[in-house]
Amino acid sequence: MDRRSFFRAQTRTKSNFRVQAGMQPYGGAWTRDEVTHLLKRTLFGARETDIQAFMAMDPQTAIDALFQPQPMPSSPLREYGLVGVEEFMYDDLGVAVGQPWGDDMNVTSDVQARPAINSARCGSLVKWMMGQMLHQQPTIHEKMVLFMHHHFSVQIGEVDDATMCYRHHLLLRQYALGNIRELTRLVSKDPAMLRHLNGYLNSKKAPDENFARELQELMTVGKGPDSMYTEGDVIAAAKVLTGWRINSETKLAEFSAGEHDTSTKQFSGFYGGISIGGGDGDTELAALINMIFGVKETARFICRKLYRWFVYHRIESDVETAVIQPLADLLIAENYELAPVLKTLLRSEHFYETAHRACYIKNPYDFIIGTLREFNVPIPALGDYSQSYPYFQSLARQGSRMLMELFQPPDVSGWPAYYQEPMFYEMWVNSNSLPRRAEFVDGLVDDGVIDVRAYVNALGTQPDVRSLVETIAARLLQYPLSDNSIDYIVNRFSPGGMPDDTKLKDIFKFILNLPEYHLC
Amino acid sequence: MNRRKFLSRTVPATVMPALLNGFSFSAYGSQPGSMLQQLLGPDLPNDHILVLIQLHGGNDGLNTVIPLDVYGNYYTARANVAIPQDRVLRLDGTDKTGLHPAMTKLQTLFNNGKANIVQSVGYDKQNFSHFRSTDIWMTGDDSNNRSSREKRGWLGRYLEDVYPGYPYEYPNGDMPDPLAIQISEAPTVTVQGDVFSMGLSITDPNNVYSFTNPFNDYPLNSADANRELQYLRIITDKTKVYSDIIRAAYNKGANRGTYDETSLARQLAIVARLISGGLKTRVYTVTLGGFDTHKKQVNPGDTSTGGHAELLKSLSAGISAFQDDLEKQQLDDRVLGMTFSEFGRRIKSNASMGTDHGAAAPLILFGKHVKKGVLGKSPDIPAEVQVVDNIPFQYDFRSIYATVLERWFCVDKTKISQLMLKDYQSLPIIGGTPCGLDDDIEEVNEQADKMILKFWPNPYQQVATLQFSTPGGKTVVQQLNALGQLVRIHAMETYPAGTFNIDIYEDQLPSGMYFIRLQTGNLQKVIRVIKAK
Repeated sequence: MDRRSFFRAQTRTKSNFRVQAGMQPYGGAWTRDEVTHLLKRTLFGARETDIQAFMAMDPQTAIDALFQPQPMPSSPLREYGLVGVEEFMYDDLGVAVGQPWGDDMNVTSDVQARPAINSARCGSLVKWMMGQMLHQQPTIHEKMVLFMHHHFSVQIGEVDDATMCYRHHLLLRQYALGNIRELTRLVSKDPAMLRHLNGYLNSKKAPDENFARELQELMTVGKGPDSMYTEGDVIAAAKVLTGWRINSETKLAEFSAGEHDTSTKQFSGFYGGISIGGGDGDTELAALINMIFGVKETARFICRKLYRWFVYHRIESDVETAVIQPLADLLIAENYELAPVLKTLLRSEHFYETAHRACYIKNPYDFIIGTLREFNVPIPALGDYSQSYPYFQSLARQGSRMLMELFQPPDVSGWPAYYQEPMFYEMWVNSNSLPRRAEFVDGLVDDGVIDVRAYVNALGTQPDVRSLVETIAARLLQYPLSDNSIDYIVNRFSPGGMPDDTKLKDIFKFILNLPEYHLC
Repeated sequence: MNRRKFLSRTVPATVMPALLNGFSFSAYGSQPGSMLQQLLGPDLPNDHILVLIQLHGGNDGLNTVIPLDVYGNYYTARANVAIPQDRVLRLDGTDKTGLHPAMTKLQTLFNNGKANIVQSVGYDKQNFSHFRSTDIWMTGDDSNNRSSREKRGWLGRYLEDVYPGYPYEYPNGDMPDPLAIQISEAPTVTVQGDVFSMGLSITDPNNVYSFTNPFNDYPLNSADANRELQYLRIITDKTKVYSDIIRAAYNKGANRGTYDETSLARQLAIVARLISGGLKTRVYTVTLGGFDTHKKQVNPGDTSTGGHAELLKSLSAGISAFQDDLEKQQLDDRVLGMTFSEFGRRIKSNASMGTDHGAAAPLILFGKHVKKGVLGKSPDIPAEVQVVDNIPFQYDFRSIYATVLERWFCVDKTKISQLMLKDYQSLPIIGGTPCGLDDDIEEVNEQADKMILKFWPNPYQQVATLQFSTPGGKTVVQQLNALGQLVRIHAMETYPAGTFNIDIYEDQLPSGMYFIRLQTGNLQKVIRVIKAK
């Protein structure tokens, strides 16, 4: 009890007196520490080769390198065999095994088999996304694609269509570093989103407010103190969005004028009392999105979400003033282009302050993919589908067990670790998920997936066991271990000198299970 | 039964009777600084358990508890999803309201007096967001001021008050088990405390977690990093300790009910088994998802079937199997269950055979000690319902929480207003027995008279025997001096029903007059004994 009140008092005091550097460009040292911090936040884990490469650059160049344009990936492959429907087995006649299914509309096979083929493709899509993340280049793209997935939070279970989910994912991928206003406009009539939040049922006769509400609450203006849209705005937005349907053959969105509410939709003073009408679906949608993005709170809300994704979850008034507001102003000035805003954040004094190091609890993919990448575990190639897709599947399943299921966020608001007060990131680690993280790393070491001897050899010659443990800990942990802790590890596992393979495994398991290992 | 040692811990305030067999106890005991007064101290928790069933997504209350007295308007408002009048399940004692046809098991429970319904539970200024409304239900704070509003859950506040210092000094003798267990992948706000969740999330009670970490230093000078590291360390330590406790209880416990193969039934079976295994855990939460029925809530051919019907069937059968399990193991005396959902749904249905986010909805309580009946009236449904029309709340959900605290956890009124952030009404939904409230005095007296409390020889010198009986549950036997001050506690624990002896040997007390006081539940009995020189 005492310890806790002491601790709380201490942290409160510190945060009150903390110097919050703002968005001015970082001018300090550019060492392994800064580079590792940058890479761990923008990639899944920081590999030694990347650390070396980025250390050789100056900060400006390093940030630009993270934003190198990336080609769009090729389609997921058919890695599944025959599909079973009741007692019959069917082939996917549209796509041969090993061939891409992304452009196939699943209309060739027996009608009975199509739902099962769709399910198989949905599974294939999840594995494929896992593969994209595992094979990431040293750029920020995959983390931003995952961010967009969190932000729009479409669930494959709700959409239940592999083609729509694949196209939705490509849309997020295309705009992950692009224009957030344009992406929001396109997502608003994207078939996967139309299905996910019932837009395809939204008609003038029975307006469905589901998307209209979440568009404002979760994707744009949010529910912060300065967000004052009304229930009337939700209803009006729902009416603006009436009439979007999904063509059953092409699975593309189309506007059905007969289902659209052509009345004049009046918005509240929060949106400047704008009214939207005219009857054309695209024109009204663009007007709605422009109206919402015309409110400054939208830019702030998006910047807060990005800050929580990359820096830290607590946004107090000092951060609001020193970071969120300038970034929001920049986002508006840059016409809602995300890249300049992200670059400014990542090259700022604020980002590299000690206060913001090692305070980020790894999400399940930081943990899973980060561990594999940092130990240079060979990842089977996407094209080698019979090897790689089962591998991706098993890792995606690990991610789900640790609370982050790809293509299936828990609800419309994304993953609670990035919004749920007061715990935020702490939501990832609880009495249920912690043992799963432990099982994962223990398994990697015990089963030899991680070659601990090779890892140690790559560290170069170490004078003694203490120095060895110290070096391993320094490489793997962003949060430093004290001398006492290092001594403890040495004395517990290898007091007699350099460890043999068994002892070395124990040392690695111990370090990978330390609470410190969950931080980056 | 072993001789009870003197226990230097607090006595629950609820053991304090106003009258001691006709003598005003306060005349002796309540002078400031008296030993008894000191010992009374803060509340000691009782052993009552609350099981919360969260219906995630916003349950359509109008199709759960169907308003038969305004059926015509109900039907008009939602013809495409309305439950046919002749299919509605009837409830004893009312013709105004009935249950969804899928809830036959709950109907039986209700008619047997083990479930009740509170109509139109909600709050003012309904927030229609799943996220925000769930927060409001879990924290009990609906204020719009984001920075100042309550972030702790209503049960988190209660548990933090009763078990201060959690998790640092726990488990301990006062609370050897988890305070709350959530059968879930992750903790919810309901049991959120100031810094930590007061609950443990588990999905597999057999989980083994054996990692230990002896380090507790914070070499990095960063408040945020240290905060997160401290959280991780605590979780690591407590996960190990509590996973061992939970596993032991799970293996010791049993299920005697017949549960369906549904997610909810599986969760409730785990809860029953942990209770059966002897956990003193006070709160359990389980979740049933899928209530966000914007579309295809019912099957077009038969509106009494479909997705919502399946959910309600699972709920009804799950509760029934759970209650049956507890009864067969004689654990039902300690358990109260309650459902909640972030909101109800709109009166008017939509064109997708579904319903959109709404406001108030009925809430179900179940267990041995609920009062039978339907509290409140059917919602008022106008003849012509607009799309935006909602059901206003009759009962604030926090009145239900306050009543649970008062009449189930036996928290005193002042403390309740503190925990609930303001005063809420007490509702007649839980019987008086659990906390000794509102009971028929005659009946209580009669029951008390039946309890055995003997002491021989009397007068005694070095050796004596004390005999008492209890109907079961938390039982206290105290020895008070002539001034009514507490000098010995002979027994203070949970007993099964029966008669017990305590041997007294060389108790070191000076000679004189003493009272032996027996107290259990709302019953008490006092006898006088003499210690001779």
